[in-house]
Amino acid sequence: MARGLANNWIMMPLASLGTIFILLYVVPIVFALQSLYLWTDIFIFILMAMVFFLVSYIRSKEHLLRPWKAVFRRKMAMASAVLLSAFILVGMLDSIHFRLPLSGQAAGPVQYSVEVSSLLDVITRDIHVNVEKTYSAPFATHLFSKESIDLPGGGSRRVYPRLKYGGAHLADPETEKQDDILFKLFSSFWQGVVIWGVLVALFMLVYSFRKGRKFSDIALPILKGQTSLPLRTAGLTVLVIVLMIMFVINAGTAYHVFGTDKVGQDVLYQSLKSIRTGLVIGTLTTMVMLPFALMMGVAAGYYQGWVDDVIQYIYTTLSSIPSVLLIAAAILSIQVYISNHQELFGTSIERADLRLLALCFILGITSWTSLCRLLRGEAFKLRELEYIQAAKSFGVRHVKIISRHIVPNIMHIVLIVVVLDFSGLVLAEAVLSYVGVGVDPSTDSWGNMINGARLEMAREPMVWWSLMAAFSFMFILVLAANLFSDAVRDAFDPHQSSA
Amino acid sequence: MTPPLLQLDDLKAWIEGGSHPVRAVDGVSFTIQKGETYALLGESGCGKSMTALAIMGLLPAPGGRVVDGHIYLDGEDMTRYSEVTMRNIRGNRIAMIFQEPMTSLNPVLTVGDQIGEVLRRHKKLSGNQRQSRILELLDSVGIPDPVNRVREYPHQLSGGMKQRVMIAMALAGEPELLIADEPTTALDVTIQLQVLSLLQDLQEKTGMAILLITHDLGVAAQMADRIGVMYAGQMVEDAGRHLFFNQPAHPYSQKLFRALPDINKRSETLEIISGTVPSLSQDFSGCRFAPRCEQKQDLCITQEPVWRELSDLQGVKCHYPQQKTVSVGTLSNGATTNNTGTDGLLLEVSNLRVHFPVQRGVFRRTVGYVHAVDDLDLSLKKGKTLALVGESGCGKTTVGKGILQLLREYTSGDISFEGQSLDQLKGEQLRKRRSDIQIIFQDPYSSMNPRMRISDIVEEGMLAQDLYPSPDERADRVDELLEQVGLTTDMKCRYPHEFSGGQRQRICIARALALNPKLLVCDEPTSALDVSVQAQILNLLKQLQDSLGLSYLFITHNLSVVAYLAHDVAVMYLGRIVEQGPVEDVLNQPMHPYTRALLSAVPKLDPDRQGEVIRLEGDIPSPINAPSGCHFHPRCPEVMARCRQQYPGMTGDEHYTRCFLYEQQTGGQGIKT
Repeated sequence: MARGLANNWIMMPLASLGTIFILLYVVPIVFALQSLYLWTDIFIFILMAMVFFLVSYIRSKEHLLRPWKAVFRRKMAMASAVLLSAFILVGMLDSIHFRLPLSGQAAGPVQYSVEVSSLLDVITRDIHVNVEKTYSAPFATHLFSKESIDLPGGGSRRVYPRLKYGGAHLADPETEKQDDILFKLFSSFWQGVVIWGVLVALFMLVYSFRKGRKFSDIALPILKGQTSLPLRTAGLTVLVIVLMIMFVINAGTAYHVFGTDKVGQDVLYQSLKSIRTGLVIGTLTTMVMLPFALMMGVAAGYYQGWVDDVIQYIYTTLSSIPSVLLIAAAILSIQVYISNHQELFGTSIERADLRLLALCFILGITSWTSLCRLLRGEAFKLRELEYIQAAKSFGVRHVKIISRHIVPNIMHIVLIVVVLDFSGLVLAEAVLSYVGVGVDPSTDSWGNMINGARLEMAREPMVWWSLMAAFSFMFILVLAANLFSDAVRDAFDPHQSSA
Repeated sequence: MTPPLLQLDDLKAWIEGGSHPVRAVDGVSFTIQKGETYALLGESGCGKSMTALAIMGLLPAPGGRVVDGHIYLDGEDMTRYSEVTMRNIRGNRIAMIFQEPMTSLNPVLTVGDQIGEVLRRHKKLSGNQRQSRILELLDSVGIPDPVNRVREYPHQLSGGMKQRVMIAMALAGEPELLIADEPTTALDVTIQLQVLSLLQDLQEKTGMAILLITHDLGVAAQMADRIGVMYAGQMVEDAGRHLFFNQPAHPYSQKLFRALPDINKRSETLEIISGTVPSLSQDFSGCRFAPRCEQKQDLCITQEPVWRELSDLQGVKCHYPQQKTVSVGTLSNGATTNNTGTDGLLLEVSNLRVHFPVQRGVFRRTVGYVHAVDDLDLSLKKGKTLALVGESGCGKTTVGKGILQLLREYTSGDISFEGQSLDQLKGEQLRKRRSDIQIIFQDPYSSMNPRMRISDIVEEGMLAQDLYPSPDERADRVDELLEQVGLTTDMKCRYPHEFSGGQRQRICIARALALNPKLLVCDEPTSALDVSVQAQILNLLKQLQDSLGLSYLFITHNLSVVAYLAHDVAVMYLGRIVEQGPVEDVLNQPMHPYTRALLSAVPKLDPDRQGEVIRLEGDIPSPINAPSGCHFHPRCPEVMARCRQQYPGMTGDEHYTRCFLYEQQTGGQGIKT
């Protein structure tokens, strides 16, 4: 019976892994692409696989599932989770990298473009290929600065020239622009609602089919908001996201929704690309830090004696070095290594990726100490508990005691800390990039966007949209993560759920 | 006629919030006259404490409120009072002391500050007047050297001292009614005796009334004038002390008496109350005790009984009340040892020492040792029960852990199990040998990993010892074990939190039995349980001993459990055995002054036989710097000059003691004089 159960929970992640494998390996072959696996991509997919396994494992264990149900029963947490999944989806799309074949080439070995694209680049192609000359405001039809143009009859005038792409379809922007935008707003609203309606109906159909119940029995409670999980809230959040996507599809190709930057690149596209950077920093850093914190913390708390002394010495020393200094030193030496070994990297994106990975590592190494200290204390407390004493009197081996009794009972702390740390790390990236020791300047990231916008803040009139875009994206991500982590903490923290 | 001091009239206090309100107090009426002691008896979760909180106007927020009924203080209805008025009553006319003295004092304020606060608030005293009143109060609760104690912080005081400070705080407002919520449950018997007699003295002096909340029939018998029994949020019986202890009328009260272990019930199984206390968040129809009642009839299930006055002094909430005489338990029955001869020895401990190093400073230098166990000798016969008795902090639990080889780095001395020295075993040999000795803990809540299923918990030992290699065999064995301890096999896929305290303790027993041990160390296995559940566990242990031939090392402070279960008793004081012998001999003819004091301190159930008690002064000394000579001499009523210099040797054979009183006598055969 136990074996049957094990088969059950392992099927779902295996199927998901298969899908990822097809995406990563089979699709490039079919479409004649040269796929490129960056280090961070690999880590992201390993992480994804781990999450899949964990989710199905948790679903098979009633006591593990219970607190998660409590998390998702809260409307705020459900909405945040939907929003976070949208961010994660964008990040995942941006993590499938390949080089497109050059068009119009003769027979023989296929030549590939030097430019590395991601799936996101392909999807948002209409947005990011429309490169203007320089700054332009959101929804502008003219450039932000005056230029001299030669008049046909000789002589020149200083004017704001029309943009090459932004609002190029309009004959007379002065009169038509407002109506055009309103029309696009309305049409994307209706399109969005229809698409959303189809999605919701499909979901309900599948759901009722799987539960073997009448469609109306499933649909009505959801619409009335009577389900135990707030599915209506989730649906409404999806509606908001669908509407935004539709608006970006309609208006984003005709206008620059968030304007353009100094070299005329679309700011919306940059912000979307930055999502991956933020997520990588937020998650990979945790992955680096977790083994250190978990192993050292538990070992120190459980074994005590000299093991405890050594580990305490290590983390006390490490946490007394200012972490910004450590990060700056590490990043600079990585930079030197990269420039001395140019031959190791095929493309510039690989160089930038190595620096991103290095940043994750060094952030991880500087941030494991606080979690380690927490876990040490908890393991210290647990080892005196009676079920550990009972296990010892059974003659259970130390490793078994740690893995069966100690680790499962400190996982809630790990989870709470990891979820809480995520938003902090996203913000830390922005600060470090602003200081100049963050990610590579060629990598799209919110920190780099803010750094670039810094100088233009003094301009008159002000160039505010880069900063605004980075700020809003970061704000939404961090807010969603914080709201979600609040719910996680409430559900998992034994001190808060005792009542 | 003057109104009674306190009168509760059909009080209902519910906690609202969840889908169903919790009817913690659901129809409680009683009266307390001036200067009277009223004891509220009941098992945990029956609404005793909530009644007290309702009287104080301190129901837990959010959700707790008085939904119906009245509380009259001197004829005035307190349920109509505003919070501001209640603040003037709390601490002033009604004061309360709590169960846990460790957490009811603020650790960052001195004792004097905390008492002074009450005086400032209610008595408007200031300056020197306040100081002198604080000293007076501390003196009245028997705290030695009050001038210095005033400036001390709670952590510098022992548990008994803290409870005295709490009482001093409660007395500061000169209350007319003192509510004592389990005031001695966290204390040892000798300290309990001190606190209870202090309360009695104070009551005589000040004439205040006491509402005593307790689960201990003995404490009620010693203190109360009237007794009210609560069950599932309702008052089921209210009677004067003599009537209650001689002729309880409600079937629940009668069951409580019969479930108590004592020496006369040794040969029989204890009566148990089947089932569990019902959840208070449901709608009841009929009598709430009916599902567990043996005398129930059809009417009990359909119709809720009304309150009946059987006499002026006794009322009961039952359709068919019958006053029944119950035998009240005693510790000694005057019988002498019927020694069944010495069976083979299973465990022999000699010169066991467990010394924990005390480390200080940066380099963790060892500056001293806690002598938790010092030169301890024990022997345990096959298939018998040895009870290890003593107050908290005397090293009982450490002995258990030392025998289990859980404290090897601190232990010295010889522990021989079936003729083999356990302390000589190393590594794998020791690991294999561990299956012979198993342990059951006091707290059934922390003794199981909350993230494992019952089957995994029971199986753990088998896996560790490779007892049953195939999963099917293991599963069968788990089923067998669960049935053996009185659980059903469909429970094995559940998690520990789904079980009640008694069921958890059964699971712990099943887990220990999984390895076919020869010796079970039971570390206070019933002290966290209610009386009715305790009876179930004791019955189970006794039955397992008969069928499996187990030996028990039964660590406890509860002497009535000892009287019921044990064959031999060892009394421990500060890391050493002061007296050991067959249970009848030790309980009937205790030799060591400490044993005698311990036995006399246990509250007697029979209110007429409260007998002469030996009150021990002071607290148990710290094992870091134990007193010189006999450890007991600072508290001993029969101390001699010699006791201060030397530790006495063993006197006696089968029943021996370590006391100079008996060494002087010829042949060392101690007989109580």
